[in-house]
Amino acid sequence: MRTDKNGAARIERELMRGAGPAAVLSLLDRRGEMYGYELVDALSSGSAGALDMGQATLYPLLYNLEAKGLVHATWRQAESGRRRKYYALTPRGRRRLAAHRRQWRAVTRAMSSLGVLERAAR
Amino acid sequence: MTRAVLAEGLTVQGLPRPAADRVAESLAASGLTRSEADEVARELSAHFEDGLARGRDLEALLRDFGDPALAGPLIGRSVRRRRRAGRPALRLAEAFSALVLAAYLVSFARLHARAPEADANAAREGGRQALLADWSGASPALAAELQRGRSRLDAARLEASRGQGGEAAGALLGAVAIARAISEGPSPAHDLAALRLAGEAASEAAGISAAHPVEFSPSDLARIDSGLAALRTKPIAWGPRKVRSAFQVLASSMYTGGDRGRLTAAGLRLYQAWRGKTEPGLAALLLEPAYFPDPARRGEAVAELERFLELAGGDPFADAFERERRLFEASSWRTLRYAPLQIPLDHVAAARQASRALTRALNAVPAKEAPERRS
Repeated sequence: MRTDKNGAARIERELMRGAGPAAVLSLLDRRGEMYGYELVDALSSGSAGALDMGQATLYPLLYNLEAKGLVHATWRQAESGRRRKYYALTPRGRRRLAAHRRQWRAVTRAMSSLGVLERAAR
Repeated sequence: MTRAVLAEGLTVQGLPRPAADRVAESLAASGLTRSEADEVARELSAHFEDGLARGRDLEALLRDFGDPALAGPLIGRSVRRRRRAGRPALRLAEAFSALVLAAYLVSFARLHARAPEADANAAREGGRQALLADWSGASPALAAELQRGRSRLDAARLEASRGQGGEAAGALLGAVAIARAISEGPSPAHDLAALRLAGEAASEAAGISAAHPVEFSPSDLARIDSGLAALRTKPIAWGPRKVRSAFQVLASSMYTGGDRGRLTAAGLRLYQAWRGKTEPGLAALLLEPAYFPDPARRGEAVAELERFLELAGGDPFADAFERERRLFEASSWRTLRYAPLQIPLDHVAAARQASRALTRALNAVPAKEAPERRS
């Protein structure tokens, strides 16, 4: 496991491949529309740095989600006058998110029962 | 598109130079069209602007961007995927093309992956000619016999014109005997050659008798008549047995083994050689699976041949076989699916035609009283 300069754990690429899309869909579900930088910021702060991603990772991920019909994007003018591309979940994206949640629950239960996850100190 | 050209055209104005360069470098590696690259550049630039507006350090933003050499292809692939997803007709066309290509490759592999049941040498040039000689009559021995018979007919005509009735009758009967000997040969081509020679002999007998009524003695005429009568009572005929047997030999050089045997590329070379075509070029080879996508199995071809042989048996003047063959040849699907069958069917059609010609010629030579000799 790698750590960044602040000691936060950075997860490996293979895990990111599975976790990244689920995390982005979940954020969009909770917060509605978000633009690229906003997503990067939320992923980093919401995961204590574990899901830090750069543009080289985020934007291909978003375009792939768009290709699969899970999110749709629109260009809009922000209050600052700057034009940004906002992403939002589609109904198909909501269904996919629900499937992700079922899978992650099953994985964490399995990992917990196998002792992979640390048990919380009583 | 070079990085310099792309950077000049992209919507990255207002960004610090290192950030603009990073965006341009990534998109130069993406392979995107100018308009797609421009849209992505606007989004990537907005990301840098948002970060800088929130007080983040440019160096940190550049580090977080990631490796442009990796980013470019990733962005390019995902944008193209998004483009295809937005065009259902294009996806459908791609899926259909993939299906067609897969079907073509399967058909190509089926033709070329296996060898025919018989020794592969049989399907090479010398072997091909020998196999096809069973149908075409091109074997030197058979050709020589047929020529010997025709020479007897020429001699009969010449002797009759010299007033030598006895010699003419002998030559005619000699041709008939050669025809009968040829008919004992093993291949369908022997049957056809015998029928043709016998028909020519009968026609020649009728012609000579009509042209030279006084050159033949009563005994000469009786000899000719009894020779031709033998052709009526013990006719020379083509045999379905020889056709079946020769087709089994042919099929073993064209198909893999068993009733479920598949037509092979070597088999197609044989079929094309029968049609007088030399080795096909590369383009013809590549097009073959399109012309022969679903050739009949060996057992299916044999069954279809049996059906035609049943129609062809019996009266040569009944036209059930000819009607069915016309329908067969009118259907390009059937002729390609059963391409090897065209070889025996051509033979049977020719043999039936020769049978009809022989019968007509015999009917034109009735037994008649000898005319009075000139003194």
